[in-house]
Amino acid sequence: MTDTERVHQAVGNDVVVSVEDLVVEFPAGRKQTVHAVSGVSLELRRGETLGLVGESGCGKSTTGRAMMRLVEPTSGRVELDGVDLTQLSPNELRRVRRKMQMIFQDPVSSLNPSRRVREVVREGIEIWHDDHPDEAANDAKVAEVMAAVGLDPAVGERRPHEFSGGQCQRICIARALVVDPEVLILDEPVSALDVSVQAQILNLLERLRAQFDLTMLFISHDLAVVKNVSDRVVVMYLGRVCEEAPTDELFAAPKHPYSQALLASIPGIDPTERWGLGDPDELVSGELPSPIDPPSGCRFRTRCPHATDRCATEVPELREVAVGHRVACHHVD
Amino acid sequence: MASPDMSATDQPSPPVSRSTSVFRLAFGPVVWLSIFWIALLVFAAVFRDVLPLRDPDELGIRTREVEKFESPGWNAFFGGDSQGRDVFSRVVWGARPALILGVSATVIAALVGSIVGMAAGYLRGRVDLVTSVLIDIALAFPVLVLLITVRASFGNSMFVFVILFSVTGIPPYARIVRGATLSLAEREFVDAAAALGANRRRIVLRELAPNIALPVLSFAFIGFAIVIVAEGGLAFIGLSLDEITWGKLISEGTGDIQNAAHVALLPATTMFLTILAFNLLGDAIRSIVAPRQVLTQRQLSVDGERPDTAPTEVESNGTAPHEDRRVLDIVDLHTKLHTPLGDVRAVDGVTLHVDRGEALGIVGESGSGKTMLLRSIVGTFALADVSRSGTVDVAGVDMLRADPATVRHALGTRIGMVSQDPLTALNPVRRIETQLVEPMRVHLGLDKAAARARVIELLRSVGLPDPERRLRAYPHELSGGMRQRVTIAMALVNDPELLLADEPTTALDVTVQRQLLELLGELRRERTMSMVLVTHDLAVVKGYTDRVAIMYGGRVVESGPTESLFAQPRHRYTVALMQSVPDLSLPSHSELEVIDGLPPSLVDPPAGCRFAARCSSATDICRTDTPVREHVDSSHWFRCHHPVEPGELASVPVQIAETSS
Repeated sequence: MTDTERVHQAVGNDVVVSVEDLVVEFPAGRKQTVHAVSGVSLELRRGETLGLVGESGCGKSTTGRAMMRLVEPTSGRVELDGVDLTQLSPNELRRVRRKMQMIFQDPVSSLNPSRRVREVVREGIEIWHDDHPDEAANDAKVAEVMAAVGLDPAVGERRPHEFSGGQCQRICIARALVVDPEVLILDEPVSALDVSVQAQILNLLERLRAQFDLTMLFISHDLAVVKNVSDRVVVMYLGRVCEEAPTDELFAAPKHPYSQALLASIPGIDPTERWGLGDPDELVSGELPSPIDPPSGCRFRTRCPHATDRCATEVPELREVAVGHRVACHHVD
Repeated sequence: MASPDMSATDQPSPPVSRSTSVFRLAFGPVVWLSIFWIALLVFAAVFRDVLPLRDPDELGIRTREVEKFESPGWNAFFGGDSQGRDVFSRVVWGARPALILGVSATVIAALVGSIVGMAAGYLRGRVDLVTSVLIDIALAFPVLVLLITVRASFGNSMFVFVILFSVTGIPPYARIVRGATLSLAEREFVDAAAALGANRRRIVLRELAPNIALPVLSFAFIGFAIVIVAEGGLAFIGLSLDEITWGKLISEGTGDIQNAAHVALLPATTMFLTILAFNLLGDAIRSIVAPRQVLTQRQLSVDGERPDTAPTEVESNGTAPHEDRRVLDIVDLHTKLHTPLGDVRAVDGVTLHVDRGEALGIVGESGSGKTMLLRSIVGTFALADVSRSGTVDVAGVDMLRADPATVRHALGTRIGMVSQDPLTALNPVRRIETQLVEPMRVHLGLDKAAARARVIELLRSVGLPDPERRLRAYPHELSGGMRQRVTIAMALVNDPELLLADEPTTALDVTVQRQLLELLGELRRERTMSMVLVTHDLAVVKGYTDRVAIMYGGRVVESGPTESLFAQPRHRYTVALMQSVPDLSLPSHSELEVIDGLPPSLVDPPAGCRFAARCSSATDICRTDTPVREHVDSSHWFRCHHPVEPGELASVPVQIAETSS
């Protein structure tokens, strides 16, 4: 692909993954239901990194897993290059889903302790061996991805427990790249790492995105990290999308009261000076309600300083307030 | 403990393997003796017909070769039995049926049990439900009754016995494998394999089975021993095989235990040693699966005398006039953890102090020694064998050398602790009320009503909504943020002078984190309480502390007032750490500064500056000489041969620098 083509595609809003009205619910015993994801829609455009932020329990990881069908969606569509993954048989799914790979938070738990690094990285080729009969090409591919993630080929014979967290995450990324994915879903990929190692992995991901023409969904609770890697950001709260905007726009002027509270809570930031927001204590009160019995209407209303009667009765729709900037709040113009 | 060899190249260096040392630990001399004994048994079982042994059934009464009840000796090693048969021959003969029965029954039970257990654990749902019920029924079934019935109807051939012991052996294996499979299937590597396109068969065979093999093997050795014991038990009620077995020999010999103890005792010893050998080998295999810390008794020792006077000027903690205001005073503290893999120098010469009402932040990455420093103050360690040297004074009490009662009193009245995980600080099966009111009654001698009123007041002061109702709650009924508020309240019960907080907000969300950090600040001001806040998060330290100590490789590399340190960091590591945090003020996709390589091993730390191997400015002196303290002013100092000069730094990350002006 030439550079002009890449630019054209980025500008042309070529959608690789489209999630429509995704709902994920789990039984919670005693006839109760956990409403983990309640009608999330989002798009991944070719070549971009979409940040998905929110606090624990907001459903961001479940959204990522449901997109992979590692968790079965209750309803909704997940289209990858126009194919609805939710309608596929297990065998079709295995084949089609290869184009989408996932990186998890815990790099150590992501690696089978009884297998050697080379086997782990080669796994994807071995599974689809009929598609990759050329052994020389396979060896070259393994060497290529290991070099790309910064792993010395000499470490191939070692086992995962001999590596630090950062190196394990490199191995996980190499394993995902070997099947030539179009999309990487990264679920808190640097949260378990020390800051110095975190920076190594974040830079690596940026480099790989260009080198392998990847589209990324970057799930994280860490706003500074999301700001660094994303082109656009989606903010989730208790199973729903609150706000969606280009990264720099969201961080310059958050519109949804929850987004404002989230940004104002970042330690080391003066929210008044930066966004003209008031005291963070007045932006959000209390704690996250239970996803078993979420509030009616707007789910943030129980903690929101602007909440009115309308917020309790009417679910706010995502409305476009500027180009590419959508907010689900009754009180944002 | 991996000890990475350091290189300043772009490639992360491969750490040194630790598998060899694990094997050395698991396979001590006792285990080798066990292996030798089992090899001896196998040899006896295979070659019993060609060995120069007497016929085990030959009656000594007739041949006159062995006397009736002959004592053990050169003629017959294990002596003779009631009919003058050679007991040694008979014991050797018994090895074959023992091994055939034990090995066949164990292998069949382990294989079938593993398949059943993996099917239940991986497929879950109805398969799991049915299997689990069947396992429970089988485990509750009186096996002895079954054995007696089957033995009575089908005879006493080896085949019947193998089938019998295999079938009764399956449920325990199935249960173990089911549990192991359930926990393995939760691990992300199974999801990763599925994402790559692996089908169920491949996931079971390649991802699950190899990780289950070792635990099953370990249990199989113990299962073998159980089979041997069971055969012995059956022999006692006359239901054994129709050949010479150890069980039979023991049961025959017990009748004559009064006049010829050796007839029963020597076969019994053989059986005992065999069971022991298999059990030991099973344990050894299990310790490869989950290497345990093989440690001696719990020890917390203090090395060296208390230094007579204030130490050298360079290392002193500042000037004397502050002494009376000093709540915590640490001088040249060294903490060593003695582990089988070597001494870990977790804290290596730390000198710092905290004044009354002051908040000190201790920042470092994992393995920097920051948490061990905190534990060294109070003397609680997860590892058993720890030694400390230097001095730790808390409000005048020498925490290392004072008698245990004084130390306990100081801990109870002067220090409060808050940990990262509030669940570990709270007892899960007791109500909040019990956990807070009781200590209040004991320590302050209040009656129940008064103590309860104080607790409610305390919970309200930490911002717990509706404290009267929450008192009746169990810890799991509260959210993470509320739990942490409760542990903060617990830490404040005795009105401590010093609060030690270890990553108190790391497990919490940003909105809750901010609330709690604000709360800690307010409590500190209200009570003129000092605080040590240990964290990996520079931004947290910057907003909520008065002074900062940056730790790396067990040492403090830079320390100073928060404002001065963030405005003008001098140590290369401090700067690198600040620069590797993503900066909110820069546009997205800005390249981050990275620190290449890995932190040093604390078992065998490099000479000189511990950061040298990862530092782009390092020269030869950094790798040989430990840098001494250099002072920017009376309170800000660093240890660096090539410090960052004022003006050299193009920019301190804005997020970090923003509010320090």
